[in-house]
Amino acid sequence: MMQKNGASCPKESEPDAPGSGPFFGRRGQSEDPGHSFLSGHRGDLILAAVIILAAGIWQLFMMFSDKGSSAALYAVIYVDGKEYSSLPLSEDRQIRVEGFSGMSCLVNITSGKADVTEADCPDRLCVRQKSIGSEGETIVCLPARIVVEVRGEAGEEDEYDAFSM
Amino acid sequence: MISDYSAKTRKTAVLGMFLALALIMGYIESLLPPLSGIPGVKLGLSNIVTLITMEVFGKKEALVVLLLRIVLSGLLFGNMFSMVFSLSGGLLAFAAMGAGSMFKALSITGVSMLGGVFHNIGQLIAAAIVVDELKIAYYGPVLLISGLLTGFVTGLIAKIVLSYIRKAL
Repeated sequence: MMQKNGASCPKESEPDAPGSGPFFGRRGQSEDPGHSFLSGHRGDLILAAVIILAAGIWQLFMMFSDKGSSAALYAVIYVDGKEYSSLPLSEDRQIRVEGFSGMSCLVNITSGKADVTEADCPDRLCVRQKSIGSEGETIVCLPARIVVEVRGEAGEEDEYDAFSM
Repeated sequence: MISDYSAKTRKTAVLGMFLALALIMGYIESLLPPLSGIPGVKLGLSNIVTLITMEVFGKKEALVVLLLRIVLSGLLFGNMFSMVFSLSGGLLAFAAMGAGSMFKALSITGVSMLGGVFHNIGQLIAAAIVVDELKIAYYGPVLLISGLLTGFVTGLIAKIVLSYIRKAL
């Protein structure tokens, strides 16, 4: 596509075609009738690249600036769908959670992150899951029906479900 | 030979038609299913008319059509709230497109991409003010990319339409 653009670019810088009406010719470019609509100016491609780059930088910036804001985060623990406990991530502590049919796991909160470090469920997948520290992340233990979720406010739903424009 | 008077009448009529077209475009778009679950991501079909007006008549005329379109569609289909949102997006997009159209290196597609991106930035700013929450900036990257894509599509449509109506007008 780049090649094609390069080849057809000079065509578009031709002056206005003769016979264009009284309303035209504001800008020094006219559409060549036999010219593919998909091939743009080189500037268009550069602009698109710049915008994509800006979006990437913005995304990275968001991801990094996110790290410092763990003060108001909570680890909300659910057992069998019901809220069991809600702990601020800012305080280091351990809690044993009694889950379904006598199984339990140990939730460990250290340096702003929650992790399941011990469990007596059969598959122990919850122990293998990574520690969680940003809003919306979860650790799930299916056999014991325990879910640990990081929330912005203790047990509260997000403030905005949706808004329309 | 077109006299001054009939050229003026013709211009008024065509601009009125463009305004009607822009309103219809906005209405048709409201009938389409939303492109995604993300608020603010939309095609921006009425921007096709803004682009064409800018190409055919100039920036001043395009701004008049844009402002009238936003006010009228706000009164007809929306409310004050939606009017403020489209105004913030529309004006910022218009400023970006006006500036972009002065660069010869950009075709109408590039100008439209600028418009799409800045429309979304304008709406993001308005949303951040309305909900008083800077966290909304999380939408930024998504809105930049979606503005780029929708701007590309509408710019392409405008390019194709222009190639036909240049002969007709």
